[in-house]
Amino acid sequence: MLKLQDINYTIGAKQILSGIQINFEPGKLHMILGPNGSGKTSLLKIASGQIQNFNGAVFYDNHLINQINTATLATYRSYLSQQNNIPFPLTVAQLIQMGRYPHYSYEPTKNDFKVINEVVNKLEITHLLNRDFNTLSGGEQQRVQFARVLAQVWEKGTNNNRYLFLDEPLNNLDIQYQKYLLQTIREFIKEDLVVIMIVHDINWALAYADKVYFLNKGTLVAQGNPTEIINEKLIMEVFNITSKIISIPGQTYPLVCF
Amino acid sequence: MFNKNKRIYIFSSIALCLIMLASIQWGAVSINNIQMAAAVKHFFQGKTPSSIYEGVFLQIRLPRVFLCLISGAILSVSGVFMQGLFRNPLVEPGIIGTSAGAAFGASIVFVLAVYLPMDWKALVGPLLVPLFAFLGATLATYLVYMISKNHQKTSILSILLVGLAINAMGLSGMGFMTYIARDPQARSINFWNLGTFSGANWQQVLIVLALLIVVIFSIFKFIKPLNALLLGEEEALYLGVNIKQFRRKILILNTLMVAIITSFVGVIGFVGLIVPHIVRQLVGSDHKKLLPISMLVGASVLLLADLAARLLLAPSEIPIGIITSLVGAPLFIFLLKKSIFIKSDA
Repeated sequence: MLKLQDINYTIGAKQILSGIQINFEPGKLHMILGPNGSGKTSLLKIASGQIQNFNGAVFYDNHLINQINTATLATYRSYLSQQNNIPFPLTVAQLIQMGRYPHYSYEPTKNDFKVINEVVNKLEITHLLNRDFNTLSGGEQQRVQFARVLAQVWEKGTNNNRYLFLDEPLNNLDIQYQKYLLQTIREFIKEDLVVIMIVHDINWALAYADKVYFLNKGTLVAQGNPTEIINEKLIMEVFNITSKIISIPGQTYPLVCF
Repeated sequence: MFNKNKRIYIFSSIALCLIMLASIQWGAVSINNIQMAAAVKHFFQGKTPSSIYEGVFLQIRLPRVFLCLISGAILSVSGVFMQGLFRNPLVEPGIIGTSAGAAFGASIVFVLAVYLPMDWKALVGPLLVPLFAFLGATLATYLVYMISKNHQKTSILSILLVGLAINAMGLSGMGFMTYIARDPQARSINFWNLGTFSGANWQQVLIVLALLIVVIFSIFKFIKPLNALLLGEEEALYLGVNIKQFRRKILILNTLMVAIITSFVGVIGFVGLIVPHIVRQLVGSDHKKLLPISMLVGASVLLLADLAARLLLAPSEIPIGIITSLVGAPLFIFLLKKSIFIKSDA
C-alpha cells in the first residue's frame, strides 16, 4: 500500500498541489488524469521519492518514505519518465541491464540475465538489443525504457510490495503498441504490485484502469472506479469540453466521444 | 581469436609498452637497450651509475616517463568523470576551469613563498603547492557547477560560458602573480601555464602513483552510478544512486586528481576531451570499459605528446600543453558544432 497523506507542494509562490489524500492499493492499476499543468507529474514524483521538499507524508507499506534507503527503495520501486535524452552512444542491451543495477553489486548474476531475457522476450524487443539507443525511433525508445523499468521490479520482494510509476508511457507509441503496453501491464499486475500511471486518453482509462484520479489545478477532484465516476459533468469540470458517453453493446465499459 | 574488447585491451597495452620504450630511449640523449640493462643491473646491485647514460635513464628519463603516463591516465579519467557528471562529452578539466583554478592556487604559494618564515619553506614544494592547487581547483569546479546548474538541467552552453569566465579569472590571477613575482619564479609560472614534464622526479612519481591506486579502487564503485547518470539525474536516483553523495565524492576525487597533476606538471588541456572521445568510438559509453581503456589510451597519448614535445625542436623543448591544445582544440570545435548546431540541446 502506498499512502499519500495531506500532500501540499509549492514552487516559489505557486501552489502546485494542495491537500492530496490517496491510498494506492496493491494489485490494482491506478491512472491519474488531468489537464496540462494540473500537477500530475509533481504528484508522481512526490509519491516515487524524487521530489522531497513537500509538506505531508508518503508511506510505503507503512514506512515513511524518507526513512527508506535510496538503494533499498530502488529494488522495489521503478519509474518511467518522459525524458529520453541520452547524450552518449549506448546500446539497448546496456540500457536495459541498468534496470537490474539495484539488484547486483558489480557483475550481474545469472538471475539478472534471466530477468532481462524474460522482459525482452515479453516486450518483443530482442531485435533491438545491439542497436544504439539514440538511433531508435521515439516509440522504440519508449518501449526500451519501459523494458528497463519493468526489469527493475520484475520479481517479488521478500517483505514488501512493488511499485511501478509510469509518466505518460503511451507517448510516441502507435495505437497497436499503446494497446499492447496496457495489456502487458494488466498481465503483469500481481497482488503485490502497485501500478500508477499518467494517461491523457479517458477511453484507455475506462478500458484498463481499476481506479482513476482526476486532478485539476493541484487538487484531487474525483477518485474511484472509472465507470462509476467518469461522466459528462466531470469531464466538463476538469477539461472544460463537452462530451458524450455512449455505451457499447457487449462491452463492459462505455466510450467517451468529444 | 579474442572478442573485440579483449583485442582492444591487448592492443592498447602493447601500444603503451612500445611507446614507453620509445619514450625512455629517445630524446636529447639517446639510450640503447644495453645501457638500459646495465643501469637496471647496477641499480639492483646497489652500485652507482657508471655512465652518463645510466644517470639520464634512472634520474631523468624514467621518472619523466612514469609521471607522464600516470598523468595521462589520470587526466583521461578526470575527463570521463566530468563528462559523466555534467552529462556532456564536451567537458574536461582544462575547459571548465578546474586546471586554471589549480594552477592559480599553486602559483599563489609559489610566488608568496619568499615571504614565509624559514621553517615553513620546507613545506612549500611537497605540501603547500598541491594544497593550494586543490583549493583553487575546488573553488573553480564548484563555481562552474553551481552557476551553470539551473533547476534540473545543466546546459552545455552555460557550462562553457561559466567555464570561460572561470578560466579567465584563473589566468588573470596567474598573470597578476607573474607580474608581482621575482624573475626566476615568473618564468616557472609561465611554464605551468603551458605544462611540462621536464622537471619530473621520483618523489612526484610516488605521489601520483599513490593517487592512481586510489583512483583505480574508486573506479569500481563509480561504474554503476556513472552509467546510471547517462540516463539523467532523476533516472539515476530511481536506480538507487544517492546523487548528492555521489556528486560530492566524485567532485572531491576529481579536483584532487586535477590539483595534484596540475601542481606538478602545469595545465595540460584537452587530454580529458580527446581520449574519452576516441575510446567511446571504440567501446561505447559503458564506464566499465570506458574507464580502464581510457587510462591505457590516455597514458599512450600523453607519452606521444611528450615525445613530440621533446623531439620536434630538439634539443630544446616545446611545452606539452601547446601540443595537446593544438590537437585538442580542433576536435573540441568539431564536437561543439555537432552538439550545439545539430542536436540543439543547448
